[in-house]
Amino acid sequence: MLGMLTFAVGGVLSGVMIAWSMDFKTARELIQGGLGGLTVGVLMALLLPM
Amino acid sequence: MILGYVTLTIFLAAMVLTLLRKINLPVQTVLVLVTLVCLAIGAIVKGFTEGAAAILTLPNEMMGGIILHPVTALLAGLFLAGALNASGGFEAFKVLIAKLQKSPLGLAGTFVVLINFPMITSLPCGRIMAAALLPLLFAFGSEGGMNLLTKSQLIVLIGAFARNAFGSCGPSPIGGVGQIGEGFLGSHFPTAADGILRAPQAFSLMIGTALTALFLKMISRRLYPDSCSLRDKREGEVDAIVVPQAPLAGYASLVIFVAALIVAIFQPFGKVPVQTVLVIAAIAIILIGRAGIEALMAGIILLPVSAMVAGFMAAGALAATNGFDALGQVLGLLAKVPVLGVAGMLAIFVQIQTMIPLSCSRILTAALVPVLFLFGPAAYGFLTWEQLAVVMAAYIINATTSCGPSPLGGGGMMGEGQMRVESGYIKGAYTFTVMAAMTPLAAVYMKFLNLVNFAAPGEALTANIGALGGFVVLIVAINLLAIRLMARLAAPGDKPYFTQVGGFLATGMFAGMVLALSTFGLHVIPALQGAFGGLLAALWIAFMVPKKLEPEPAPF
Amino acid sequence: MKTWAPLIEDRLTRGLRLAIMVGALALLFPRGRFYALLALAVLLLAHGIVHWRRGGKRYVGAIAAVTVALFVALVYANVQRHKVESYLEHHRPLAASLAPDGVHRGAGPGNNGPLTVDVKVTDGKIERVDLVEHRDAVYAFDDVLPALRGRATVDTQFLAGFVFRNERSIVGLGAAMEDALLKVIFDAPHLDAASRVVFFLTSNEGGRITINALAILFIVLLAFDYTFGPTLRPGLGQSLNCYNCQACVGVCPVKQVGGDPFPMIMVLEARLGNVERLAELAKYCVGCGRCAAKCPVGNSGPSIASAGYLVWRERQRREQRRREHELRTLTGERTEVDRG
Repeated sequence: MLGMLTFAVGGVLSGVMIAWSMDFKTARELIQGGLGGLTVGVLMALLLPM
Repeated sequence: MILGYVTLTIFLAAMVLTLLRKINLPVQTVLVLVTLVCLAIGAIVKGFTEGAAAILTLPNEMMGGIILHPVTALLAGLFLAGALNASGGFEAFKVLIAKLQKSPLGLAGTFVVLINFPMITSLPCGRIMAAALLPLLFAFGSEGGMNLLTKSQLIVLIGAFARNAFGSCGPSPIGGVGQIGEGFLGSHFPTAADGILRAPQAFSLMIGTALTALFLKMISRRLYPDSCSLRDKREGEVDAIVVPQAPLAGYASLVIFVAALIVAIFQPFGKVPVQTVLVIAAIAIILIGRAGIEALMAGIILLPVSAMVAGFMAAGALAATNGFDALGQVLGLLAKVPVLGVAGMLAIFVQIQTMIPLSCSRILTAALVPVLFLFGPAAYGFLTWEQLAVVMAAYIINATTSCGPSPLGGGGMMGEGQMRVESGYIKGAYTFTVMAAMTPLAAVYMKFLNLVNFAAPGEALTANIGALGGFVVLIVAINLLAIRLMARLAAPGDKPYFTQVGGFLATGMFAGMVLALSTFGLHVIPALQGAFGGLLAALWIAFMVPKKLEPEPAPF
Repeated sequence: MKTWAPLIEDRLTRGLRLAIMVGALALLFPRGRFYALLALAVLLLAHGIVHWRRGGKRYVGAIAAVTVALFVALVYANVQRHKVESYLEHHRPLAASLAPDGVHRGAGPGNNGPLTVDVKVTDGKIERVDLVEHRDAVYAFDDVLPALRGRATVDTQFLAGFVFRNERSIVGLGAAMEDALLKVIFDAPHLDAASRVVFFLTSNEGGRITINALAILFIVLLAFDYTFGPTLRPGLGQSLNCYNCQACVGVCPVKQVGGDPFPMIMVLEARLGNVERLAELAKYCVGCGRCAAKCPVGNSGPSIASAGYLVWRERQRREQRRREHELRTLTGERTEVDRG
């Protein structure tokens, strides 16, 4: 569970950073980036042995 | 013992000379030659000192160095990718991506998912996913016809994607580089083979990808402004959204692929080697997609396979001629230097593959993981098992990402080709984030969270999510700060380059310190030693980043 | 070079190479024999169906015939075995007194592979039993062998008392002893040579471990053939060096052909041996050689393109000659060449 949480938070962080560096700078786009990162983090965590 | 020093010197010198292009041969060829030379020298020396019988054991020891499991698992993973490709599985991927853009994730969220796709699927070689998806990424730009992204956005997208792809072989459970390390850790952690190194690598890869994107945007674009031949949207050009299509068999093969991955990871039907699962899945996919057995072979990428075998052979030859004992002694001496200590030595050791980026990380990993193992309780006793696991996590993520910045035909060149930039463009971004962020992140993740899940029976460890969070925030913050400061001064010319070197040194020191802290706990001396070791490693890495890129040769 | 390359290309195709390797495997790997045989039949059948138009029909007919023959042989062998089994059913526990005095050798399936024993019969009793060859754990037998001394029969009930070590080893031991005695009992039915051949190929049952080992062997075989193939074609061996780094694609003025990265795709097709596609792709190469300058291992797109084209043209010519020859045979026309 802790692993999932860490990955979710890390994913959001990385998603926002990627969105920002790709010049998606409006609040809506940053949130979308964060959501994408969340998806990535959760998906990845599901596939890991926890 | 002298023999050991001789063969070790030959091995290291050959690797460095290959990297510097003083030896202009493929790395595997160099390795095989080194193996033969080492064995010949070993035969001569052993023949004189120990008699003819000792010579006969040498070839055996070399072959004994080859560990079959990661090699066949890698090949099986490549078969699966080939089958997936032949039956339209990657086309189905692209359709899913297109669907994702219309979901609440929007364009930005979709790109984030796309960039991290290689990590999620974790194929055994990043080249598979890169070959399948890089053309798609390119199509988002102006040359590609979709006109969705500007030149700058496209560079970041491709660069970050390639970074993610060329680290994804690390956490791969189907023949990944990490499996070499997991095998060694298995002698203490009973469930290590289930993937003790996967989570730390995936986590630091996820964060590191984002930092790479940032570095590319803020620094590389400014440092090498003239080297990219992409163009922005021209006036009057219209957007053309291409809706990809995929055959039904593609979706079916995708489902089989995911099912195979889950069976291979979670083993719901009892213990079965991944090779069996993957081969059965690959055959099922080619039957569904009506492809031939050639489809399996089309998936093979020889470089990682031959690199790993060559690496194992060289390791076997070094072991047979006491080369590893010599290396252990040298590193032991290094650990006795007061300013370095064990912590400083380790801070250099974990960065060694970023310092010598070869075309496939498996070459050095196969040869050096046994050395790292010797630092543990098995031989020299520098480290306890838990500390060894922490250092291993840091070492492996550093290793797996090293094919990205390699100028010897590493995976990063695929990204550079697709970005239409000169070789070396991504080197700064890739080496910086690996050295400064990913390596320490993997170490802290292993230390504060992952060890708990894999602890040996009788050991009660508790996760320290607070410390993990703190360290992650600290590492990311320091990196952001460094990138910001470097970016402020970055413009073409000499002075900003040295600013960049300064940024490398500072963050390298910090990375060494974090590694020491997560390995040895809150002690001042190891932390300082780690920082010094990190500084030395960073010095080497920083000066390998090209100051200027060679201009494109004139068109014919 | 010119003399054997066409031979290998035309005759020793990939399917055939794999079939030969699987066949060798079938003979050498006792526990995988049946699966390997099965795989071989499926492989050949698939090959025949895929090449249906190009003379695959003969193939399919031949394989179907072989499969039917195998099936008939299997039925025949099982009838033979049934006779032996029913004899055993009526005479169990098999008395040692039925057999003449002397040392008799018999074989049975063990846990890890075949198991051979020598049974010494004296005065209608088993004097001693010795293991000649086996691959099982030695402790599986260490108390059962002495306990068998002096017994009058091969008693499976008695042997069942020792199965706590390893059931399959003990059952195999019993079967081997019965086999040893049956061979020398005058009125007992025997398996003839044909049935023995059939059981040699099929009786070794596998299991998960066998399948896993076969999967790994399959991987190694395919990888071997993949690297072996391009060396058979003159000028295309360099394709083995490719790193898939696409540095060549970055500098190539063409960059993409049909969605594939160019010129790397030429090298990959060369490695797979698809010379037809290679000859097609070669038409796109402008021959500037920038890829060769950039390649980290020194491969050259233009040289692969021309080598591939030559191999393809050579193959086309051979095909042409073959067709002409066939036509002449059909029309009955004889030429100078045919007269020798």
